[in-house]
Amino acid sequence: MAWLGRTFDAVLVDGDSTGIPGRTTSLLGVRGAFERLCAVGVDVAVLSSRGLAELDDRLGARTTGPGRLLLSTDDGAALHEVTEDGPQPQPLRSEAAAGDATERVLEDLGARGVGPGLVLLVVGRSVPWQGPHLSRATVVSVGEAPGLALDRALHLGGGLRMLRALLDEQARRREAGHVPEIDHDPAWVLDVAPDDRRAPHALESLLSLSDGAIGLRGSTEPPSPREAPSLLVAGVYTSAGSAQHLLPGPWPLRPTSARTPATRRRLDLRTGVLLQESDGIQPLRTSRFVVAAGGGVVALREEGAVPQDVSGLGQPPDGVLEAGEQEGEVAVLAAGDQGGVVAVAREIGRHGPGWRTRDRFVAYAGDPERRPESAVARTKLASAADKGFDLLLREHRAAWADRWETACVWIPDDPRAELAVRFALFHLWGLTTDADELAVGARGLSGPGYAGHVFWDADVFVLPALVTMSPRSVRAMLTYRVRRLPAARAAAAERGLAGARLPWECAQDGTDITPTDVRTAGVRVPVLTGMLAEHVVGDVAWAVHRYATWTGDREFLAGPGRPLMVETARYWASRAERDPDGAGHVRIVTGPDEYHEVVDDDVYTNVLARWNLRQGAALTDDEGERREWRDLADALVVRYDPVRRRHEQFAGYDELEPLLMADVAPPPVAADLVLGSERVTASQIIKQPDVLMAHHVLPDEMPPGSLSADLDHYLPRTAHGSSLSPAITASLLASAGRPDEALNQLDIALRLDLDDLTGVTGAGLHLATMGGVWQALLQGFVGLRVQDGCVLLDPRLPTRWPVLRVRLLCLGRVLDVTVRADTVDVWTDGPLAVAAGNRPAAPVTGRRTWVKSGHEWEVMG
Amino acid sequence: MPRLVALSRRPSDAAALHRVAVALGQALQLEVVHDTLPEAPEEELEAVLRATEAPGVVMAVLPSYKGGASGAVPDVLLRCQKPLVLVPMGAPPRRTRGLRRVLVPLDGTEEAAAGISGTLALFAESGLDLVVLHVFEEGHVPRFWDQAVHEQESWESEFLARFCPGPSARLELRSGRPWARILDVADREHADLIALGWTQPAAGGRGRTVWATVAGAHVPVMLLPRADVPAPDTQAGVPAVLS
Repeated sequence: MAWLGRTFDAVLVDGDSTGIPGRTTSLLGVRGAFERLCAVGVDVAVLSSRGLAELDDRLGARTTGPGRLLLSTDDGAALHEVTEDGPQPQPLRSEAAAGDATERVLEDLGARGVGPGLVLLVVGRSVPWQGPHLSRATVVSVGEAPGLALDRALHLGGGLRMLRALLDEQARRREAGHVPEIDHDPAWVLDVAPDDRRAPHALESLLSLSDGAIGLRGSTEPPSPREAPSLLVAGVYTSAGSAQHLLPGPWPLRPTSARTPATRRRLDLRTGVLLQESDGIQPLRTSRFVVAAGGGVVALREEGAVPQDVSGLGQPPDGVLEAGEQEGEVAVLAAGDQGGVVAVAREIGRHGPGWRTRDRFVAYAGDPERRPESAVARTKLASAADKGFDLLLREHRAAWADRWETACVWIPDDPRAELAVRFALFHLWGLTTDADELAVGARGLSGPGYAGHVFWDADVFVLPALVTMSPRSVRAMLTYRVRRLPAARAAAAERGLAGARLPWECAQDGTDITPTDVRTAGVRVPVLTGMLAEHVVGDVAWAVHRYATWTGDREFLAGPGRPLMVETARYWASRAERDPDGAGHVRIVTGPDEYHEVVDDDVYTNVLARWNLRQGAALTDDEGERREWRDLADALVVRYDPVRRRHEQFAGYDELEPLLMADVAPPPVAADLVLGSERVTASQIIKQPDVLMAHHVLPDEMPPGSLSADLDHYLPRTAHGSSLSPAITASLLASAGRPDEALNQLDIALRLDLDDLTGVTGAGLHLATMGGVWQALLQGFVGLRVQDGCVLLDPRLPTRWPVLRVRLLCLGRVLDVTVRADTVDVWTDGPLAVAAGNRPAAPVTGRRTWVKSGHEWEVMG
Repeated sequence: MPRLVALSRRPSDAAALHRVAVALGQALQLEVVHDTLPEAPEEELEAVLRATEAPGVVMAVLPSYKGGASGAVPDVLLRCQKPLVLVPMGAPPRRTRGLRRVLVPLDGTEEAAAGISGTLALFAESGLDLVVLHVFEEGHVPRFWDQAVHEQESWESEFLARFCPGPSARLELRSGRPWARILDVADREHADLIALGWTQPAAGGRGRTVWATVAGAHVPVMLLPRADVPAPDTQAGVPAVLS
């Protein structure tokens, strides 16, 4: 029997209306069916108005998992999980669900990554349930008469006998290994329809999956022979110099070209699962995920026209088959210049009348310096395969649910923006790792673009976002920088300078590998950023400080991060020049505005250097250095006109041709391609925020009141020709009290990859833009800052957003902030000092509300 | 075997046309036949249409047309539904090495790419060197251009993947007026042929580009008409230079 034709991950049974607690007659094997479902990994919940003792006594079930048996009793007032030792109380997850049995169970399931769309609700008669999440659940009635309040319910009738049959069917389906569903929640699913016109490579990037250790692009399933999934392993580079790039990992699964590639693809952001379906003569349905926190394990399940007699394991054209191939398992090595990547794969096929499935597991191990041991990958593979696809998926969903419990966004009046921000967070989550070192390339592991090279994107754009999600991963990012200090010291020494000169672009060993020229219009022209974009020295120091400030991990600042702070300050001290009158200059640099490559006293660079010198002075043990650095910091020229209250971006900027973007083209646009590099260099057109970037990064270093004047002056001159530009501009506009303009800029950042606005999303995702998006929400719209161990809020919502809610990690706490026009609701999971507006900080444990009174925020209670 | 017809206006054209026709015939596996055009210019249009609509004829090679960027597009270019290869006359060919390198201007639209893809595949199979040219024109440049080296590498790779996915080709990027850049690059790259896909009727900038290229080229120009493809939306971030 297959009434429903699909597999559910949880079954909720209305005990009262189906007659479980009240009758004295036999339960007709329902108890056994519950236990069997739990044993195959399905969660079961029985809801009743009766007391726990009565329901538990009547049911008498005991389970050992992996599925959970939940008893909701006393009209939702109590929730227990039944284990071998009897019912165990479960915590109330939110006040909103208190007293609502269904909502409370759905919340409990949601906290483990099982959304309402994966739930089967079985009732016996008319029920008044109208919970907000219930609309996506499948509801069936086994009562004797139809006429449910939930009129979309499928009426089956049959009472307990039908209930048992339904439960048995679900257990059979689970045992058969069907491809599991995702919850088709439009707030969480990136849906790629068959007629999607985006470039195939761009879709592969958008649908990529990563666990911080490996990144698997979202190729169609089944892949064609030319389009085996591309896989990258973090930190494993090959080749040398600027040609250095992440080594593509082997894909030891054989492509099967005979079938139709997937036509419908859905990425469930909530659970990190990619579901693909192809119709036609040989329909195929597949599910894949990169196991969260699995350290490099891919799990795939196929269902449909799966050949049972042909192994799907195979040697890719660029891989070397490792010795020791076993039946049903293969190991393949991709060798780099020094290190390599080994992949070990296993497959398990099943079939029955009318169905065929195949589970495949691939585990990776990479080593940047030597041939990796396949034993490491084999151990991971064995662990994954022994658990099996369903249990792995269960753990994977729960891990993703934990992530979204840590950092998330809700914009109920703007679902398109909400999904786009979640998409950004999803891929930022894909960077998180348990490893002790993390190199975040400009495109992460989502594609080959930028070769996995690390830029200031990581330190200034990604890191401030990731620190609110996974401080541990940020510490790993900084450890990457700390371990490459010897190369930075050597780079400074090569120039006859002291301290550490961090590289503009680097990969494995921390040496600067910025290309030195580019072929433009058939002619080679020099690339100067490697020589001159020295603001990266201060960017890295700033990243250390940002991590310490937002996590409260002062130990890192005083310990492993201290050399970064001190040696970068030492670099600036030797790099800067003093005039006879004592004025300090940093000459011949490239600031963030790369349209002007050779300038003196770039505001962003000098503000950062000044700050870096002062921070270093506070940490150095050398009293002489301390004095010298502070003196230099005070003397560094930052070109500012106190009358006009605005900065001059660099020496001589104001004398350049006074072009505005209104004279050139509507931004965003690559103005250098419009005007030519010579013309743009001779003009006041800038690529991206420079002075404004200083406002974003170090607002307290800028004169009060200068942000508005600088915005007014520089925005009309900004081409936004860098993908880094729109999100940061959004953040600044919001901070300046211009949230509607800010939202216009944020929209560009949100669509940058989703609509392939750059034309190069196919080469990988713009993770810095994604980090910028999260910064814009937090710093810009919520107005969130951390200062001296206190959270400061100063929200400004655009008209389109009556409500904005964010959740993040801050100072070791989960912080949940809901902003409305006149209120700010704050919830924390532990004591935290919070201030809104200019009011003094108030301690928050649990929930607290601020109400706007005039221009001030007043704390309630 | 499909045929290519070489149409000469006067006896002195014949040798140059024959050379081009034979090279193309080899590359595209076409039988080469010869015919002559009427002396009266007003009869030429019908003669070309008649010749190209003859059974088995898939392409014509004929002497090019004189004119300038502002001149009117000859009717034959607007009305002929078969590919035409226009060979510049009046001056001896600069090179006699045959057909080795083809310059393929692409404007970043699926329309133009679809119109030319089959021919490019045949060229590639014949071992010809394909150089794709894309021109950033004012009003149609990428919105974003991050780090120059990596961005260009990614952009070129993605452009070729979208608009020239089959054959192996090299991409050259330029900024400016498309027809001028096409002629520059054809010269610099020592192209033996320029292959242009276009949609008839040629209106606006695209028509001017095609005609200016034809009029100014020192090498044969192959026009691949694509009348049956509706004009698509411009790809995000990819300019439609020739539109």
